[in-house]
Amino acid sequence: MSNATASTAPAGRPSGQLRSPIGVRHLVRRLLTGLIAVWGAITIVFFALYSSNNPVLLLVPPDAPPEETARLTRLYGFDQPVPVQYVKFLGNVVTGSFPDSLRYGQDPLTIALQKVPASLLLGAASLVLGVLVGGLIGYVAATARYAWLRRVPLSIATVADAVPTFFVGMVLILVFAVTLRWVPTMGRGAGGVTGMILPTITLAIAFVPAISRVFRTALLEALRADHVRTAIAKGVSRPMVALRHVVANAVGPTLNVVGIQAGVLLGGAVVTESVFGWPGIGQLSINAVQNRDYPLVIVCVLIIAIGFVLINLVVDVLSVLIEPRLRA
Amino acid sequence: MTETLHAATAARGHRPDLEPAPTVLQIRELVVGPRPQGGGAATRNLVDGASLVVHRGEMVGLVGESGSGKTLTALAAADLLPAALQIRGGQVLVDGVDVAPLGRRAARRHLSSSVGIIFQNPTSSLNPRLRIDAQLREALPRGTSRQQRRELTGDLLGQVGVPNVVKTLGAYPHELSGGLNQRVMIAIALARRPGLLIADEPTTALDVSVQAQVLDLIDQLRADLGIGVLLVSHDIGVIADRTSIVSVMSQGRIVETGDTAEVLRSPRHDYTRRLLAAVPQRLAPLRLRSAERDESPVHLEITQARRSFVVRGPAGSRHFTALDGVDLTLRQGQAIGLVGESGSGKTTLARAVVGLERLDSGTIRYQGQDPDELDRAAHRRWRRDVQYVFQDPYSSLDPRLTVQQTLREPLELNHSGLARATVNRRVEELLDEVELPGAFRTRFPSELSGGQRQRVGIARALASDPALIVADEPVSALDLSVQARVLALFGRLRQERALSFLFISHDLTVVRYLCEDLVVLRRGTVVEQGPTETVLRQPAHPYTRSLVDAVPGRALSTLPAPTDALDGVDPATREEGP
Repeated sequence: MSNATASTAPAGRPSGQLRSPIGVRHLVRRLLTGLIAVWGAITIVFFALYSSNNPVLLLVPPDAPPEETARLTRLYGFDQPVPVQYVKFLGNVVTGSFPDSLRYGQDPLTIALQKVPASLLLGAASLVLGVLVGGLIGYVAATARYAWLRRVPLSIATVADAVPTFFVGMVLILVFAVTLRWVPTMGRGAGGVTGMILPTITLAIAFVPAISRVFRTALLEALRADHVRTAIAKGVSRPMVALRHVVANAVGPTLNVVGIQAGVLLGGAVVTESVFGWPGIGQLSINAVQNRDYPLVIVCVLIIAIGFVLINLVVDVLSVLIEPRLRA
Repeated sequence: MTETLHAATAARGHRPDLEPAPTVLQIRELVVGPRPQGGGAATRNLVDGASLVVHRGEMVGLVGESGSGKTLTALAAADLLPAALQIRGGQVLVDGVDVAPLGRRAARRHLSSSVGIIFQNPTSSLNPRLRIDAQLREALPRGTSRQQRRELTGDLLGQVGVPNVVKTLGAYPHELSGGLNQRVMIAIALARRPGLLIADEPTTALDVSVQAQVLDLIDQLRADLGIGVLLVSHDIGVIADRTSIVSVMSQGRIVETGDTAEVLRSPRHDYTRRLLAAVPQRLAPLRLRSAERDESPVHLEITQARRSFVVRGPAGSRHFTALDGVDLTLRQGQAIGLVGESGSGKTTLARAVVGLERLDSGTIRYQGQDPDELDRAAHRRWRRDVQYVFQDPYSSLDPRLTVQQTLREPLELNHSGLARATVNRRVEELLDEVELPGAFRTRFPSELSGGQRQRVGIARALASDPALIVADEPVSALDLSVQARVLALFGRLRQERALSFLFISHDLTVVRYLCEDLVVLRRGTVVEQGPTETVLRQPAHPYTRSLVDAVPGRALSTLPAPTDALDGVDPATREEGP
């Protein structure tokens, strides 16, 4: 297939650059798989919520008359059989029109979407920080001249892996915000950019260990590869050998782990945002769960699931761009 | 005969009557050993005082078995030793310059412009992430302008005989064949116009016909550019055909050096003699059957076997036809050699015979019956009867089982309720049968050499008293002398056990030794079959002819018959230790 595509490309050099690195069919297939994942996530949440008590009980005062409860139950459709509710719910998801938030009395989608930018900001900053730190630790662990430098940073990262995110966050608050008073305790509203530092670090720590371990292994593999010997024999300078033939070749496998870690990033975001009072989708979803704000929970889960699928789709495309062998 | 050899040598560039050409590589008393670790434990030198000289325009062979130090010698000459090893003594002079005192960067600069090197596995020697074009550009001398680079990469590929230069430049290594990648490697090696090309087993991973083409190319470049070539190989056939001078290496030392024809005709060192005796061309073929062939009952009958695979990728999928209507009949006690290049379908056919692979259509009848239609008990009997010997002795044994446990498994499976003592006795008998000492029972695969592992693999196949053995390239991963002994073992088993054999190999000389009949596969179809001698002497199909012509070692067949140097060596000690 690849040969056929190559030969149809115009004869300009290098001819191969005109080939599409990723097939449309492959992309569509991945997107469909992603949609199934999203459907699975919201279905699980739907039934989990249904198995809890009638959410209307929360809305009414404890001493409300039963008629009032029944009226509201009917209003929200909680009295209908589960399959009917489920089908109606799926219809809502497809059309994007959800019943009003029980707590805020507004369209839950609007509320949730307002929180997305804050979460994106935090997630992107943590991702960049985590990849940089994880990459550095991995590189040092694979190539450092001294044994302690190869072992100590990686060991610290591994230990950090065993500590829960909320605990890391609280320790950071205690040390840097309460005791040292370097940064504000609370998130965005209180301190602008400085308020972002602690949540970013906390969230980054959640996936530094995995990235550093995988990057180290990938580097060791690349260092052993025969083609590195060829590059040295060619007379390529040492920094270029390291960058072009070792590090660049180790990025592909690491990238896949970033995709897998997307779940950690999103899950960690929920915890981190709560600990730091960061006004993102994570905090919103926690509050929604606590309030049993049924429509809002569904919308939050929907957005988080879509985020997960999108991250993995991007990783998929990137890894095919980076790793030509995947194009086969 | 002597004259022909000399004539051949002269044509290869070594002209003793003329002034000697300038030296491009001189290795003096080279010692390579492990870099001292903190503990300072006693370490063995892997190369121990090797000396050799390569002149311009000359092809020098360095031959030896694995672990002899030949590859390390070659790598040391190019300053490419693995990080754990270092040069401990001696000198390496490249173009007359002693490399060691230059310092790291200057040495690298000197070497990269005066030594080109190619390796055994061309595909893994290229960066999988970069296009051929980018990898070639890197190899060009510093200070070459962009415009020049653009022209030079194409010229280089043209020079090494790449047919479609533009397409190849834009391709990634995994999209090219091994032979094409090796040509690319040669182009990279020659990009800085070096005076010396080091070729470390350059064709071992390639099919025979491709092997011949690549060696032809190296030889032609040697003649055209007047470069010196150091050809490192375990294959005496290749060395005999291609080199004018040869050094024989064993256990880190060069035991013999001289005019190739001379060394092969009258080897002075015992090791050289043993090596020559192990060359499969020179083994007297085993011929157990002749006239009674057609009377034996049919053991295995394959009719119109078809199998294709779908190769999937993000860019789409394509079909690969491995078997395209293969017919084959194997009679009781017959040994058929199945030959063909990689991708010809021989392994798929072998796997289908033992039931590891399903056919899309066609039938395989074992003693007249389709194994799929047998009842449970008969199916189990068939499973026992047909055994497989794998190519790679390293990955086909469970690393966590001792030899004893490996052999017990089939024994206990097939004769449940056997007493422990009986099982143990059978294990001993099996080890004895494959010529391994009984003490090996408790060893793990990691404590065995390649040849010993393959013997365990054979013993495992024999454990269930099979009637048919399917062996897929069982000796191709082994050193020449080990290969000869394992082949002799197969021969003995054929004689003693009256087994039927389906023997898959890319190596015609191996098949010639063991099998009376030959089936040549190409792209999933049988192009020729018949008695081995007939097929090899008068190949009817052009493909068979090209295979026969490509087999290295033409020069060897003119040598006098060997005296059997293998006699009187204890089987346990004659293979290299773990």
